[in-house]
Amino acid sequence: MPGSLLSKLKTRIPSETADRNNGHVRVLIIEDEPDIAAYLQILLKEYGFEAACETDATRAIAAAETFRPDVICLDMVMPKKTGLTLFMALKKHPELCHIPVVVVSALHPQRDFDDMPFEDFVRKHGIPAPDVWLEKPIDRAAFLETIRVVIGKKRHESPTFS
Amino acid sequence: MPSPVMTEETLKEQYDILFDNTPCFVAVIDRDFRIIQANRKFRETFGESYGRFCYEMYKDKTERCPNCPAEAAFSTGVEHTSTQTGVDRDGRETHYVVTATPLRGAANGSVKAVMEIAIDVTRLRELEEEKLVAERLAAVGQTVAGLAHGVKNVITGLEGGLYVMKSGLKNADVEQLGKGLSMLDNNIERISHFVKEFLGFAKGRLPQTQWINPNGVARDVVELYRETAARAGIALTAEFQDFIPEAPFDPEGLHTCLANLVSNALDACAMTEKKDARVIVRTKKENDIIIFEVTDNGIGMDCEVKKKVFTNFFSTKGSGKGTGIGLLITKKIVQEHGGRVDVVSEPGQGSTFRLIFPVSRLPNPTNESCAAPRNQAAPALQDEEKAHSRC
Repeated sequence: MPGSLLSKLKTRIPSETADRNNGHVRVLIIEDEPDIAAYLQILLKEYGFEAACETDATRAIAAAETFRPDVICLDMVMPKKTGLTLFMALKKHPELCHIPVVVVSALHPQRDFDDMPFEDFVRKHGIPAPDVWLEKPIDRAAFLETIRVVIGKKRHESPTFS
Repeated sequence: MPSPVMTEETLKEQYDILFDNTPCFVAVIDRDFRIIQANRKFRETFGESYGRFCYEMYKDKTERCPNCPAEAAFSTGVEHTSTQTGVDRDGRETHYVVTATPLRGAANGSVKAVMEIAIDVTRLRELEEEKLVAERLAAVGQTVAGLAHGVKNVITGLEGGLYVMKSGLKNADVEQLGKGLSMLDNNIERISHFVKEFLGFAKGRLPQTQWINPNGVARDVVELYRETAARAGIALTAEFQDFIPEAPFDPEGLHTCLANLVSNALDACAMTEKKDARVIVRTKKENDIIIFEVTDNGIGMDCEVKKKVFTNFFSTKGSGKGTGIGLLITKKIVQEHGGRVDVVSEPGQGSTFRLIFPVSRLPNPTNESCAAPRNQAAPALQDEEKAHSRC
């Protein structure tokens, strides 16, 4: 991850009983494991987010175009289309490129990419790194706070993701 | 090119210098297999040899070796090359590649003697063995590290199930409670399956190598999947090279490898909606390398997946359809045979997996399977000797 962001977050992560007023924030979960997708969706809904799941990676772009999420949670290892391919496609999409992406994966962005860390690879293609990389199994509080922070950051900074 | 002014004596002296300083083993052997001339490197390595039997010098044996290249050169009148294992004067095992060239008397006369020129490949052989050990250790390390990927997903599923169940209890939501329980069930089943497969992989089985017809195993695998392929509307075809000599393989291990590749290829085709989905199993032998090839025109893989397929319990088949162990097992078995696995793949176009086995690196046949192959010359001498020593 974008270690610096996570280390900042960790110092201020509240308990799960923190403010649940996250209404109207839309999160799209792209995850092929139905159980994990359902878990994240139920968790986000409990904390006031509006959450939708797409378990078929080939339909993920269309789902994002329709759902218009404020943030996307993206798995990496999926059949048919991998998270890397999807991430590149999202960041090249004229209408979706500004949406923050939180990678939620069992892979580690450095250790598990033998030739080149994930961030370096996408940067080589002129694409910014994902906002946050969370390794499974996730810390629920960190996950929720991460979603809030990236959305806050997006709203605060500019409509263009960078 | 000798100078025209050189005397016969000078030429002889130059010849002796050249012969003695040749940086490989050179020996001339008569029809009784006695050494009648040997250069310095030969003498230094194997000892003073004039008049002694070649098999005595090279191998410390009391009778002629089977598969002797000198004997072949005497009987056929043409050059023969083979890889041999001998023993030097200090009792150390020495590996060398020897070429036996017939020496004729008068023009087109009978073969009077054979000149053997041998290159010491002992260090090369040691490096090759070290490389094999390193490859095996690396595979074990990658496997252990790769376990984490599968386990982390299952833990997330278990945590999710527990969370959803607790949430259902708290909200008195029976449906959610049931969903949480079902998630726990799914993931406990997955981890059980995963652990069983991993234990099977880790424990493995010792390869039982025997001389087999490579096409026979490939044919069995194609037959095994023919019906499955037909049901899925996928054309499964075999393109086997007509004659591939028998070679020492573990038939069960090879069957497992090919079955994994064909099963994956069918899955890759099933993920597409192509009407002309096809899987082709090929066998061939090129330059002493036996190749098994499984090609499909299915979903294909991008670079990210290609990098991971052999290093982790890594599956992209979707939930519940695989632990990712198949290719890992395939790689392990192929490495145990001294081979390697290559993959070429394009997203949307399909994949080709190739199992590449250099015949010279195949393991020795074990136990009951020491008999030489039925349809080819006996294996290199050192292999045959080792094989017999195990019987």
